[in-house]
Amino acid sequence: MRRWVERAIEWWLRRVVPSGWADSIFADLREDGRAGALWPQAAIAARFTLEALSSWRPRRPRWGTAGTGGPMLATEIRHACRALWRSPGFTATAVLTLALAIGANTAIYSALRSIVLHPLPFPDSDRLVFVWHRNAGMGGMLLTPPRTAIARWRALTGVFESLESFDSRSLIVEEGGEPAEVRVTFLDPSTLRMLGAAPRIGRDFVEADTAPGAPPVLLISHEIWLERFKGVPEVIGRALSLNGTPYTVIGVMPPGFDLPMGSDALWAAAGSDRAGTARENTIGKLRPGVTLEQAQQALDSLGSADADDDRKGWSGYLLAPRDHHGTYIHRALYVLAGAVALLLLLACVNVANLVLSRNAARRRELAVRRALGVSRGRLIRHVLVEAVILAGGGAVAGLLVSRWCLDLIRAIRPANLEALDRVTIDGAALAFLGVASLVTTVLFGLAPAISASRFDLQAVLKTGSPQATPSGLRVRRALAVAQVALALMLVIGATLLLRSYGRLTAVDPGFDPEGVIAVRLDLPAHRYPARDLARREQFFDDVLSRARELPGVASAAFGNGIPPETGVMFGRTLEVHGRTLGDHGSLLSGAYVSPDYFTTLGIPIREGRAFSTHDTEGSEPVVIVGQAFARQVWRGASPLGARLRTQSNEAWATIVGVVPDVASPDRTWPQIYFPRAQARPGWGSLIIRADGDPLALLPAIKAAVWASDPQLPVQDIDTAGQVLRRTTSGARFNMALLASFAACGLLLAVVGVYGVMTLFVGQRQRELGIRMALGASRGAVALLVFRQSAVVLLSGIVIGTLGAAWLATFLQSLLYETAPRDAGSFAAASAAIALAAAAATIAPIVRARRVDPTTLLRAE
Amino acid sequence: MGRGGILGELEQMVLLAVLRLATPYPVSVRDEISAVAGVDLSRGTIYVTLHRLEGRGLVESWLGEATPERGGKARRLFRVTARGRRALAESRAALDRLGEGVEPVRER
Repeated sequence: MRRWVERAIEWWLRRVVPSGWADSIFADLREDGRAGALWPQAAIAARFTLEALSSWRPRRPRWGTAGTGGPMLATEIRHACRALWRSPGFTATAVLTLALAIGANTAIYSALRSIVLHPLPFPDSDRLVFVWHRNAGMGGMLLTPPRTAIARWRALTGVFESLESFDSRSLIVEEGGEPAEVRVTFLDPSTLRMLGAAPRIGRDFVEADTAPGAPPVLLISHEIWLERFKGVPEVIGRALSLNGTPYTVIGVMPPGFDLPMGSDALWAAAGSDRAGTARENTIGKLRPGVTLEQAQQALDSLGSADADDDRKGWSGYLLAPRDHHGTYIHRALYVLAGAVALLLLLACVNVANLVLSRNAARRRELAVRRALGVSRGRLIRHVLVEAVILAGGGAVAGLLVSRWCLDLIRAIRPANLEALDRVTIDGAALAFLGVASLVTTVLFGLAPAISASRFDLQAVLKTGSPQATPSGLRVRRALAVAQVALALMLVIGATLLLRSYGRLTAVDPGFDPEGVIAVRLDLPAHRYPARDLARREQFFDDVLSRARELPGVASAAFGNGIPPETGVMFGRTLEVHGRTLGDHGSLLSGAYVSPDYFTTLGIPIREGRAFSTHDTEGSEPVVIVGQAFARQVWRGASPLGARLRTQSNEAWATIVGVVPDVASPDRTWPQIYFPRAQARPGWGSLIIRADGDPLALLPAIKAAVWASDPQLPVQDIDTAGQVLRRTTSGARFNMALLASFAACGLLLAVVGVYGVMTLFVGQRQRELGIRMALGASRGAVALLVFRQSAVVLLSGIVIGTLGAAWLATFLQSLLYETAPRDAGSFAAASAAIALAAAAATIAPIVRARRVDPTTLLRAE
Repeated sequence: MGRGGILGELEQMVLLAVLRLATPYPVSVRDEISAVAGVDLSRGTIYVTLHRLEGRGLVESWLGEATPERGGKARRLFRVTARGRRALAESRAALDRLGEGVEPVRER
C-alpha cells in the first residue's frame, strides 16, 4: 500500500512541477537525507498545486450552455467554490465535521496498524515470532528460554528458517557528560541478517567478531551518535568504554532502529563465553508457508533439552509480535477503533443532514436554472463537484486533525507502548476515509439534483420561499434521531470508562505518596565485585546518611522502588514452618528494605515492630509480612514469632511485624519484606520523603550520590505521583480518547438537532402564524416546537440505549469494578444528551415565539 | 519601475541568496536564507519562488553536472539575470525612498 502511495505522490509531483525540474528535486531531497520520504515530496507538490490554482484564470465563463470538456470542468469548479464561499456557515460546518471524523479515524487506525496489524518494521516481519519458555502450572508465566533449549529448537529446520537469541544488559557509559546507563544487547551477526537490518554507516558484525579473543566491537544507535558524537562520521574506529571495558565503534544503525522487544541504544557482538543455562530473548523466523500453530506443534513434540524443566512444566511457547503488548491494549485499541467508526458514521449523517438542508434551501435556485434550460446532467455535475471539493477539504483538514490526534495520543500514551511514538499517518487510511466522506456527500447531494427534473417548476417558483418537502423533513428527522442515538452510545462508553477510571485511581495505594521521590542506584560489578560485600554496604550507608542530612529531606531509606513498582520475586516456594499453605503460585511481591523504609513511605506498623539497625547479617533472620497474607494464613491469630522461608535452601526467618498491603501488580501475591542488611543486594532505590517539592531536591540527591561515587549513574528518577499515574496510564489513555470522541459526537448531535428544529420552525412558520392569529399563546407555540424535538430526542435515546447495552459488552474487559450496563452511567449519559439537545432547541423555540402573525399573513 | 512592480520580501530574499552563493541551487539557497537571515522556508516555497522568478525572467536556470551523492542526478543551478539585478535594486531603492525621513523605521 505504501508503494501505491509513493507512486501516487511521485506522479502528482511530476505533474505539477515545471518540466525538467522533477529529477533535480528528487536529487535535492536525497542530498538533504530525505530520499524516499513522502512528506517533503507531498509538501512540494502541494505548494506547486496551490501556486497553479492561485494564478489560474478561466478562459471565458460559459455558464448555462451545455457541453463537456476541460474548460467547462474548470468553470464548474470555480462556480462551486464561489457557491460554497457564499454559504460559509454550511461549508465550514461540513468541512470541520468531516475533518474531525477523518482525522480521528486516521489517527486511531494508524495506531492500530503499528501496534497490532504491523508491529515490526522489518521485511517479512509477518514471519517473525517471539519464542518464550512458558509454564502452564504457574499461571502461564513466560520467561526467556535457556540457551540449551534454544539450541535444541534450532534443530527444527523444517519450521524455523532461523532462530536467534540475544542478551540485553544495562552497562554504564562514562564518555561525555553525566555517567549514564544504556541498554546493550549482545547478539550474533546472524541476528541482524535475519531481521534484514544493516548499519547506515560503517560495517556490520562478522563471524570473526564473536570468535574467542576478538577485540570487542559495537554498533551504536543513530540517537547516541548524534547525542554523544555530534553526528560526525569519524566515529567509526573510536573507542567507547562500557563498565570500564573499551569497545570499538564499527557502525551506526539507521534512525529508529531497535530490536523487537528492546529499547536499546548499543549493540555488541556476543562473545563465545555465553553459558548454556543463560536465558536469552529469542526470535524466530518461520519458513514461508509455516503457520504459528504448526510451529507450536513442532515445539511441543520436541520438548526442551532439560528433563528437569520438562518435569516442572516448562515448554517452548510461540507468540506473534502483535500479541507482545498483551491483549489488554488490543482490546482497548479495537474498542477505540469502534468508537471512532461510530464518530465517522455520525459525521456522515451530519453531513448528509447539512447537504439536504442546503439543497432544500436551493430548490428555487435549481428550479430557476432548470427553467432556463440547464440540463439535469449539468445540475448533477454541479452537485458532484461541490461534493468533491467538500470531501477534499475535509480530507486535507482531516490530515491536520490526525496529526494533532497523534500528538495527543503520544502525549498520553500508556507508559509501556513506546511503539506509539513511532506511529506515522497511514496514507491508505486517509485515502479510504476521504472516499467514504465523498460517497456520503455525493449520495445526499445527488438526490435533490436528480429530483430537480421532476420539480413542478411553477409550484416552486410561485411559493417564493425556500421550503423543504414534508418527506425531506421526515428524512432529516430520522437522521437527527440517528445522530442522537450514535452520540449517546459514545457518551455512555465514555461515562463507563470515566467511572471505572475514577474507581481505579481511588484505590488506596497503602502508603502516603506526597513528597516521595526515588532514584535507583545499581553498583556495577566490575567496580564493586560481589565478594566485597562490605564495600557495597559502605557505599549505601554513606549515601543514606548524606541524603538524610540534606535540607528539605524529612526521611530517607533504601527499598526496591515505589509501590507498585517494587519488583516481583518469582520462582519462589513459600513455606511456613509447621503449616501447609494453600497454593500461592510462585510469585511474591517482595522488597529488601532498610529500617526507615516504612516511616519514609508512611506505612504504619499494624503489629510487632519495624526492622532496626540490630537486624544484621549476624543476627536472627527476620521478615515483615503484609496484612492480607497474615490474615489468610493465620486467620485472625497473630503471625508474630512464626517462621517462614521463600526457598528451600534458605534459613527460616521469624516474622517480627505486620504492615498493611500496598499497591502491587496483583494484590493476591503475598507481600513480604526482608531487611537489606541480611539480603545485601548490590542495588537499591534511594527513597526520600521531602518536606516540599521532591523534584527540587534532585540536584542535591545526585550530588549526595556522586560524593560517594562520581561515576555512578543516578537513574529511574520517579516521584510517587509519577509511579501511581503510570500504573493507571492505560486506563487513562482509553478514557481520555473515548471521552474526546464522545465530546465530538455530542457536538455533532447538537448541530444535527439544532438544524432539524430550525428547519421545522422555518417550514411551519405559516402554520404557527395562523395558530397565533387564531389566539394560540406564544407559550403554546413554543410547546409545539418543544414536543417535536422531544420526539426526536426520546427516539434517539431509546435506540442509543439499546445499542449501547449491546456494545458495552465489548468494553467489559477494560472496566475496573464497573458493570458494563451500569445504570448510573447510562442515566447520566442520557441526561447529558438530553440537556445538550434541549440547549440546541432553545434558538428555534425563540424564533417560533417571535413569529409575527400579521406580517406573515400579509405576505400571503 | 519595471513591469513587475516592487518585489516581495520572499523574492528579494531568494534573489539575494542566489547572488551570494557560489553554487546556487535550491538546497543551498534554502540553507543560506536559514543561516544568514534566520528564516526557515519550506522546500516547496523555495522551488515555487524560483520558478516564479524564472517565469518573470529575473533568474535563469540550467542543469549542472551529476554527482554521485545525489544518486547520479544533476543539480538545477540558478543565476540572477541582468533584469533580476535591476528589479532587485529598484525594489530596494523604492523601499528606501519610502523610508526616507521616517525616523522610527530607520532607527536601530
